[in-house]
Amino acid sequence: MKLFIFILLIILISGCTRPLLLDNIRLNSEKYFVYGGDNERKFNYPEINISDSLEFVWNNDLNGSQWTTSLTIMDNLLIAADLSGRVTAFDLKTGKDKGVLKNDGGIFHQPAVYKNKLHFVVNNDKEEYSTLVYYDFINNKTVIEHQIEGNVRNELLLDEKYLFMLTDRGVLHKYNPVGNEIFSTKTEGITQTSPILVGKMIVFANISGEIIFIDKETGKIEIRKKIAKSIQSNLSSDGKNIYTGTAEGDLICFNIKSAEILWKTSLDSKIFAIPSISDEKIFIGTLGGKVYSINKITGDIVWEYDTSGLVNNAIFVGKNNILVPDLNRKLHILSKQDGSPKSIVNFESRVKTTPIFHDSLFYIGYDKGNIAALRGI
Amino acid sequence: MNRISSLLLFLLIFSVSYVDAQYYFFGRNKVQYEDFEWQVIKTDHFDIYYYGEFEEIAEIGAKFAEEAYDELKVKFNHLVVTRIPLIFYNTHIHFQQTNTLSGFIPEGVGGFFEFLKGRVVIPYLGSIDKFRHVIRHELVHVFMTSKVLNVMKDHRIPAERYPPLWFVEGIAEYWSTTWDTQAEMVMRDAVLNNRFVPLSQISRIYGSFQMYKQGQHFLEFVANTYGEDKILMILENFWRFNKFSEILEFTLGDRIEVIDEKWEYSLKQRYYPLYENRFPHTVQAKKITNEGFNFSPNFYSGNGENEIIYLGNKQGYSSLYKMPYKPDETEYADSEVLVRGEKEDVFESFHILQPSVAVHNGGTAAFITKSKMSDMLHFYDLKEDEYIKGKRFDELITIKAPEFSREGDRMVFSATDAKGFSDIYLYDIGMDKLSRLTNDYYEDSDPVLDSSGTFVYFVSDRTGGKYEKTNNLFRISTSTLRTEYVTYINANFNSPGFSPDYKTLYVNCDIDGNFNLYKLEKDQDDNPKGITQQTHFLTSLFDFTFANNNELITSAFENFSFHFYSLKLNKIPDSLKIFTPNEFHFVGRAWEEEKIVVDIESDRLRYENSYSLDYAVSQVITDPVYGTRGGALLTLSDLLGNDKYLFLLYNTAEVTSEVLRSFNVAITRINSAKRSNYGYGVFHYNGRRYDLRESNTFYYERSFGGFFSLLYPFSSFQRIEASVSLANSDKELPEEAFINRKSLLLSNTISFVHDNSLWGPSGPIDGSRFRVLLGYTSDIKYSNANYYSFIVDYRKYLRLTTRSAIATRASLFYNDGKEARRYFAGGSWDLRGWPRWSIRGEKLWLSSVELRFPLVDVLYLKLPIFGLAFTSIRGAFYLDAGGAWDNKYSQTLGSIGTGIRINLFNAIAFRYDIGKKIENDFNTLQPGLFYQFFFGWDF
Repeated sequence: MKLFIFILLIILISGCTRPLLLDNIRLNSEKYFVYGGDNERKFNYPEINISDSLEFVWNNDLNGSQWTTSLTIMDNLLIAADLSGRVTAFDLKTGKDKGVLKNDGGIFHQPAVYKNKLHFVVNNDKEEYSTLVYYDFINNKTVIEHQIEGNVRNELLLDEKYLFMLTDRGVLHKYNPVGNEIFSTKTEGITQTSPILVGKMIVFANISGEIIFIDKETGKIEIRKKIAKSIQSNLSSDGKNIYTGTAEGDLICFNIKSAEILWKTSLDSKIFAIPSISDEKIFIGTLGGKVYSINKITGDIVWEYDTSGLVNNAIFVGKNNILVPDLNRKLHILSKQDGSPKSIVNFESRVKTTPIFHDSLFYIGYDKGNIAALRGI
Repeated sequence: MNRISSLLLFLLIFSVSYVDAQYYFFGRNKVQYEDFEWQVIKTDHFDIYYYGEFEEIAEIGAKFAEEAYDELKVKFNHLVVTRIPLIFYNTHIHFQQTNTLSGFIPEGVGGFFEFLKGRVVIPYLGSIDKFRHVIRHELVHVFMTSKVLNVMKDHRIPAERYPPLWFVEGIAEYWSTTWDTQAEMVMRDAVLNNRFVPLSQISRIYGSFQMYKQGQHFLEFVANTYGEDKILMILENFWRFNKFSEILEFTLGDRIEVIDEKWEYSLKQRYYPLYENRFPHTVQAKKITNEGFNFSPNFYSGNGENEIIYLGNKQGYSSLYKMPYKPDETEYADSEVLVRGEKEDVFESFHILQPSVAVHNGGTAAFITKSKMSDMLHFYDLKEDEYIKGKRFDELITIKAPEFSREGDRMVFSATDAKGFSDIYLYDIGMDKLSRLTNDYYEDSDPVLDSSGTFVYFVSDRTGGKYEKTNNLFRISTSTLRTEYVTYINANFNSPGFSPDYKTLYVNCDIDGNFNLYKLEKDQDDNPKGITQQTHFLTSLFDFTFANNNELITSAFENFSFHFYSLKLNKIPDSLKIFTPNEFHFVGRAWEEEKIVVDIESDRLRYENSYSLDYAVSQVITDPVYGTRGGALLTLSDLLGNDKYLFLLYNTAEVTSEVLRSFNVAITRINSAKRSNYGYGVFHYNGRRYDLRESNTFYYERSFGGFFSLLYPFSSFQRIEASVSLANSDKELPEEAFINRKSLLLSNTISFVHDNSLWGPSGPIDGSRFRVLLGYTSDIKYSNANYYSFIVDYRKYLRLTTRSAIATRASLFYNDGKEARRYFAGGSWDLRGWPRWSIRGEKLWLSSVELRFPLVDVLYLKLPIFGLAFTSIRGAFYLDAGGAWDNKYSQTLGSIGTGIRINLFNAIAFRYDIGKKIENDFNTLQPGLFYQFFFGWDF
């Protein structure tokens, strides 16, 4: 009997999770707070030298898998959200579990951080709505919960202190730091793209192939223009132009002010991934598994590489090399210059997130709910 | 079918100790006539299994598979990261021999994806284009299953639910092929004849071909109305709700009722306008049959009466029929069976979905059946009304579309060889000489000889140029073998046929969206210039035969059935006869299909058995008699399902000290790779047992030993079984003051089994089945037992109507010798009314007569929150008799009564009987009634 109780206690204790209480965090430390590194979502890190090969440093588990998103870094913590509704914090160096938040549903995007709060949206299980959550991780409490109609699978935008959120039904919401809604703008179109912030415009596309510019102050639709049959890829911008891929497999560059198409380049297959932008080139992968380097000005293909897999997430662009997350259980390291393969990091399962970098380590998520840290060899 | 398989396993494991076990199974046999020598081609994502000479088509299939993989990964935004086994068979006849599924595969199954080992199994049906379609169809299943499982796992939700079948098949069709003539025909018929079923009620057509096509069309509708992207979103939202209708509503943003209304409206918008210039068959022709399925009509008037010789299925058996042709009468004519299929091996099954009958007015009919390992061509004398002979061609596996020459001395047909090639053959009947006219991988079919026998007209997909791969009409010279185009039109043709005077060639064509009748037109130089439409039916005309130059008998699809119609060509207004010219200037080189390129050494291998776990179950049970037991069952098999292993382990200890000696183990191997199936195994059983055959005897026994069983099927219907077992037994018998009874039992049995029964909802209603068993059991060490066994169990089913029959049974179970085991009877399965298994004896006889009939077709209970439907509730009136004795016969027992049977999901039948026992040596009826409820199929 004693043995039985002892075993039962062990099971109960080991099954318990620690709450996400991060009261020692430095709020103004280095960070990855938004998907893409900035609100223009360039995924460009020209200061980072990527080794020709990488090795594993640590692995740990989430409860569920991740969507095609990325990870958040805050001070010495790595924060990941998963499709089982959990937000988990790991120690950057050791990978040790530092706490977890549980929610009933799935979180499809990277949590956004502002001051002492984590912001994320839970797509609620068995409900037709989702819930926007503001979580105070210093005091371990949820301070705001807003019900929102529909799915939210797009990434959040943080502009200084304001939060922008786009639902898949094409409704753009703006919230202030205490969770009050400033405006919501309906665009009557289904969207799978994450909004970007370019100047004072929030820009996104929808599956009808329209791009929409909304004034971030007023919420007014300033431009609405159909440029393709369907757009399911995300957008990125270099401050002058905006780039996006289409479901027909075209990479399009259009003007940031007028939305006029400047060039269009046909690639091999449907594009879901976000174009990554360096100084002169665009790097993009397709569902057909090819990776392209494209001249940003002319749209000419500089080089292409066939992964034989499937690329549906953003490419991490470093100083010398690029990292290509491939759903076919690989992370490709390619030369930025000519696309020649340097090495392949093999994973046990599908690579899901775009890697992020901090203090000599890369962090990446893969199925089924795994997080790994890698370093250059 | 699975029931039979599991019973076989049960028999092989558990009957070892009870070699005279009286609960055996009948069942038909899946016969492996071929000794397949499997090879494997390894591509980037697939392991392709093929055999024999099928290499060229297998390499083409491998290329299709890789192309489909690259397309589907984009459509699903998903990768299947494990290697996918694709198993190819060169014909449907070989496909039916597969062990990847334990059950029988009907003619209409074109391939399947099997979940347990993720195998895709596909027969090649002679057409490369159809092969591509089926490969793509099954791979959509593979991707969809993988995607859905991953979506659920990603969200940490148990993968206990799956999309409904209509969606699963609908998406497989939608993403593997375009909307074709067959799909159009089914949907037109459904909408215009009020058979369309909305999504909210689609379970009503569960499993039917209409369900496939409605599912496909629904997804086309979603793509057109809501966007193609929504289809993937439906799968990606699959985790969110338990009910699929809620997932649809959430994804499409409309309520189900609204979606249904929009969908139905789009269909009506599409099809209702067709009434303007198209006709139902019942309007433009006269329907002359009203029952069953009716195919391949052939007009015959040699006996002085006008008759139709055709294939049909009216009572569950596909058969060759004849019926009088009297189109002017208002009553439907009765049919007569000429040759009944599916009862004996020479006519094992008819291919009723293919043209398989030809008639020459001289009085000979030719027809094709599957007969054991291949098709056979049979000849029937219509004047004498007797079978003439059957002809098997060693080099041909399947045969279809036979046609006589004008003189009747030669035949042409389409046939498939070991390479899978579907080609045209000319057979000289008198000289028994077969000539091959085409020899390539293009699908050639529906041949017909011209009046002189110089040319054979046939349909082929060898069309090159602008209308590449359409099925156009060709002709080939029987002397030079030169092939030339007869038509070149962007459409598909089938069933060419000459008018009785051979002056005009008619053919079916789908240029207007469905197959209608067309006439071949020639110019003044006798060159084919085009075709003129003769009929404008709403749904497809499948086949036709001429009664005279102006009158045809057609086989057509309407109201989801296949019936015959009498059609007069001169009743069709000339204004409707639209001409379509040939476009020979677009003819190009015949197409060639690319094959996969593989390295010979490393990517092309001989198949070696690779085993994986099929099934693992563990259980702990407790009951007042035996106490608590726990154990596990594991089964393994190889990829092709030919070799199976079963491991049974359980423990019957009642106290801790008994644990080690109370392990019960059985290891069995069953191999069905070749025609002779065998099984062997070892076992150790130890524990308390209750023997049904003894009078409530409860004893302790330890028994160990081994067995070997052999099964040889003569055909699908008959087989011989043999077994030998050796079991060392150590019993403690409490009734004999705990005396130990040791024995070393050697048992031998041999049985002959026959089964050609046809099953209804709760049991057989036609055909017969029987088993004759001889056995001998001897204690070769202690001489404690020594007896022989004889069993004969005969069951015959006399069909009264389509759904009713009289079932009879006569059985004798006979053991004689020293310490012979007893048999038992009583209960719902034999002597109804008597307590279950209460009648015991070393000799036992049983006899029953039962009238089986339909009672209630559908019983639907609509409750406030859900509904329950029970279908095919059957009734019975019965009379049972039997007796059991050891040395001296005591009395005859019986029962008489009535009962109800309900089939639940084809998995189990519940039975409820009411009646009276017949007691006192069959002299008196019991006072009052008995009421007995149990489960089980009718005998």
